[in-house]
Amino acid sequence: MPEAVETIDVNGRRVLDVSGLPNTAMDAYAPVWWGNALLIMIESMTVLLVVASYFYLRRNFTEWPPPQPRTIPPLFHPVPDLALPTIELVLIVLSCLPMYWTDMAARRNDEAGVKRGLWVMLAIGVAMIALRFFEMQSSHLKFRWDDNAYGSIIWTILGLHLTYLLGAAAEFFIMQMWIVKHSFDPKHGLDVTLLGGYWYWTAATWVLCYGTVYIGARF
Amino acid sequence: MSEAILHTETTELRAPAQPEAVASPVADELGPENERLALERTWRRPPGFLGWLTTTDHKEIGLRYIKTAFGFFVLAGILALHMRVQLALPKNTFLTNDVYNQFFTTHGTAMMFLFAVPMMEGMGIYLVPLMVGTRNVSFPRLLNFSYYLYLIGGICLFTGLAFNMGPDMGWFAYTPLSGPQYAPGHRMDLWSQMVTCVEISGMAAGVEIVTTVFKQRAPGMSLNRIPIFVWTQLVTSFMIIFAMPAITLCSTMLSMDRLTHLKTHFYNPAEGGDALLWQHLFWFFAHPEVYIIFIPATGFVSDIIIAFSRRRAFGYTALVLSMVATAFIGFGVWVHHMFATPLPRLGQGMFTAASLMIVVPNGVQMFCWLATLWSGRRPRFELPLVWVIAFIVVFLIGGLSGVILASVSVNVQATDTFFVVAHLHYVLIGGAVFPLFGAFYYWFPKWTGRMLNTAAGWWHFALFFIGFNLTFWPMHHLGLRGMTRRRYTYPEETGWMTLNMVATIGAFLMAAGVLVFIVNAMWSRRRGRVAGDNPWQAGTLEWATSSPPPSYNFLYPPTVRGREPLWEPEKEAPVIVGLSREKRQVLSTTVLDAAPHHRYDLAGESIWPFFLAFGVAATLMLGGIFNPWYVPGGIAVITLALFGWFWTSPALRERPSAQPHVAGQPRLWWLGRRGKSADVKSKDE
Amino acid sequence: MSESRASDSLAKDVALWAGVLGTPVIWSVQFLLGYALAPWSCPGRQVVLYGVTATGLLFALVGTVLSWRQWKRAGDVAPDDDEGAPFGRRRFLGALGMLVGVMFAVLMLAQGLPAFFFDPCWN
Repeated sequence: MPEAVETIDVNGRRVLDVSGLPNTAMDAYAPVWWGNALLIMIESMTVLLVVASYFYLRRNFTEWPPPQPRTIPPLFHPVPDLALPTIELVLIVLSCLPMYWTDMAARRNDEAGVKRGLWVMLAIGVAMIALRFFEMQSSHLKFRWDDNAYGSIIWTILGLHLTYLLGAAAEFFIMQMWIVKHSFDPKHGLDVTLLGGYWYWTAATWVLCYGTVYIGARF
Repeated sequence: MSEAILHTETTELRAPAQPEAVASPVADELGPENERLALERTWRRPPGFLGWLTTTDHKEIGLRYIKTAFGFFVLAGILALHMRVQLALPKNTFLTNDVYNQFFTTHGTAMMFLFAVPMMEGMGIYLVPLMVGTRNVSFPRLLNFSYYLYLIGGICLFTGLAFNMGPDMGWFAYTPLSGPQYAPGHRMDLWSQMVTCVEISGMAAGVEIVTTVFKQRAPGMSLNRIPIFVWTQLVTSFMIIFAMPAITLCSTMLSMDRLTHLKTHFYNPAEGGDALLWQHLFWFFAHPEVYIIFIPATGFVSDIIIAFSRRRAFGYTALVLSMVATAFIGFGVWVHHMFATPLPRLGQGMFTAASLMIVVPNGVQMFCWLATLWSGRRPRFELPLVWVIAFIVVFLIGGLSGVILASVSVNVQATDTFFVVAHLHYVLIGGAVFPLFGAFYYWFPKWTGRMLNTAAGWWHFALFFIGFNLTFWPMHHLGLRGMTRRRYTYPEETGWMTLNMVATIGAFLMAAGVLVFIVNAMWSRRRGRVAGDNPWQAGTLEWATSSPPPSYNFLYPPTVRGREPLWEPEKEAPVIVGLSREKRQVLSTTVLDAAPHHRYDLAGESIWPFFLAFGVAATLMLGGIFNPWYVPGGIAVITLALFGWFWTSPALRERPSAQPHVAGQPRLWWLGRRGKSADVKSKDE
Repeated sequence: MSESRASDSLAKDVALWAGVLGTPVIWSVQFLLGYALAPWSCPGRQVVLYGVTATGLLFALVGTVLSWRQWKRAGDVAPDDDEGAPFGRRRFLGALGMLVGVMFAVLMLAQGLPAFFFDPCWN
């Protein structure tokens, strides 16, 4: 096991020789892991606050979702459509599996495995964004963002999560490009595992947002 | 039994049973002078303007933060002087109502967002890596990014003011007053985008400091040996991480409400929105922000008191308790800013309880300081300590008026009067600016290599201390006599003139004090007495290197054996050798015990962080003020910048020099066990 | 390195942080829950608020005791010495957790008190 060695150098000085230590680390041993974890904490806080705002605004309405008088015919209990977001939910939860395989491939320094995994994840990311695009239509959500506070908050929650999807897809893309262009190295292996953590978090966040916007509106 | 097990577990740096008297292969094969040259080549920033723009040196950026924040402090102070002139006489016409509104809003905004928080971050960015004994922060490029984003945000606010576009709704911008209905024009838009910029920058700095403290402490600096100031920065950074999302969220919602293309209704009661939502979100951020400002200041106080009483902190654990408790409770008192709103009384009672209880940890802290001073060697009453003692007095007064205001019944009477203004200036100037000036006198020698002039320093102190009390003490009385805050003038019959005049005179005395300080700093940085490495004989690691420190901070990074490493009487702790001279490499250690773990390569200079800061600011300013259709374009720029940043980050070209003992072993921490996949691999190696 | 061994055990980690981070987190849950339930407890459901306070206090007690045991195990002497890892650090975290636990227990008590004096229906 590599260790830092305490010894005495030519000048008779006590030194701690760290040249034998590795030059990479994984998980919580790596500073970058902490940077990533802290950014995730920031974003988690944002998500929690936006969800809290949803429930805070809800107190102002006698009915939730409020009736939608602008459509013809007017809707009295205009809950948002469930089909597309449920597909997204299933897709993003299942996609944690290929992400996990990619994560493991990165830990094995398996370049081909990582590349394969990143292609799959990129495809899933793009698919999620496309689904979100269709999901975010007034015909599905029954409201526009400027109809009332309910419309504003559900559009904001979905939009916020969309930015996370965009970020993840961009990261899959650039990571793949790098590995294709250069070869795989431990530092980028670490990055792939961090990307995995971010993706699991994005999935978990969607479970929360889905529960709030789609299930919450039905109770 | 557990005793024995724990003893065998010790990770203390053990000397080998018989130290080999042979040269270690890497140690000093070149000799210290060559070592110095090699490190200088590796760590100094590239020459020229581009090098200046892209620098990633925490000392350089920290000082820029400090200077920029001080610049905003002076500008906001000048606005305050204008306001004091206006209020000196009844029915004064020095400023119009509108200009006065812009001035007090910009004054408050700049002092809170552009001076106090970034100043504390700047002090942390400069001092934390030195105090934990490393060569730079963990993410040097992020530092560059956060500074420029802050700078751009700050410049935008004052540019707006210069073009009669200064915000005029008060620094907390209550809706619906700040909403589209009552605040047409772009004044509030500019304010909210400025806030978002500065807070994104603040969060980046917070991430930076936490990671540096967690992963780059000198070997041996376990959690119970971290200098108090570093603890305060750590706690503060966590507070930033949890508090600042609230302000970026609520100011973004405000922008969306205001943009004519979006017109959302978050704060619009007519469409089911809620004006109080703003107050909740804003104060959920802004009350912790007060502690984000105050807790680092207590770090200055602790370290200065320790250095001047020449003993280790009395009640180190209690001091850490105090900041941890304050940090948590700070998140549980936000409603005390909203006592005048129709919230349920029972809920308000809970917040009263929390607001009163937060006094306890602060009291504990005060007693620890007093005990340290009392039981130490006879303290030397030099300027840093004098400022700190003034802090204790002034902050105590501010704390007492805080206890008064924590009570709902009194609070409702005093809401929006000058009593509140007096209280908040006593706690913020008393709690942050007094320690800060102490810190300037204390660390100026480290930054410049020269001492600040003492005679001028005493003038500065006297003028500022007397001026401060003359300015803000009368405000308590004015408030109790019914003078509301934010009024631009008052009739003569109110009888408020005398006290207002006194306050105005005090404000000019304070300004004179600050002027003396500025002249002193300008003069002393070139002609002051040469300081030497450790002019105060302090015990923390930043004094273990030269003043000012070289670009690589430490020729040989230290290890530590105690809380005040430079005061350790016994055998000196070993220094670190074996880090690369050709790459910017630092030693990464473990979180709890700071045991050496691996060598970590830092990223070098790049133009992309600057580009990213510019892209983020442009996206927010254009998209948030004028037309949200700028946002997609902005996101494209941001993406490009992030790609560039990522693409130019160093890869690990060489083979891993040794198999890291955890790399490749996925740790399924949520299951509490380790995966197996890569054990095979490490056996192959 | 034994650091990794020590932190492998999840149970040990939990005990280590029970007081320092656990009790404040419990406090924030208790506090938010109490604040959210305050309007709902009108009329005549104050007992729920008492229950929330009591549960919070119970958890705080557990956190404090866990931290206290950490401290005992790591040597049971004043935590203010600066012995190195892992003893000094454990002792420090244990003692700190104990203090934080007590602090937040008192805080929960203080915040539970208004429910005894104020009518939740009073707006």
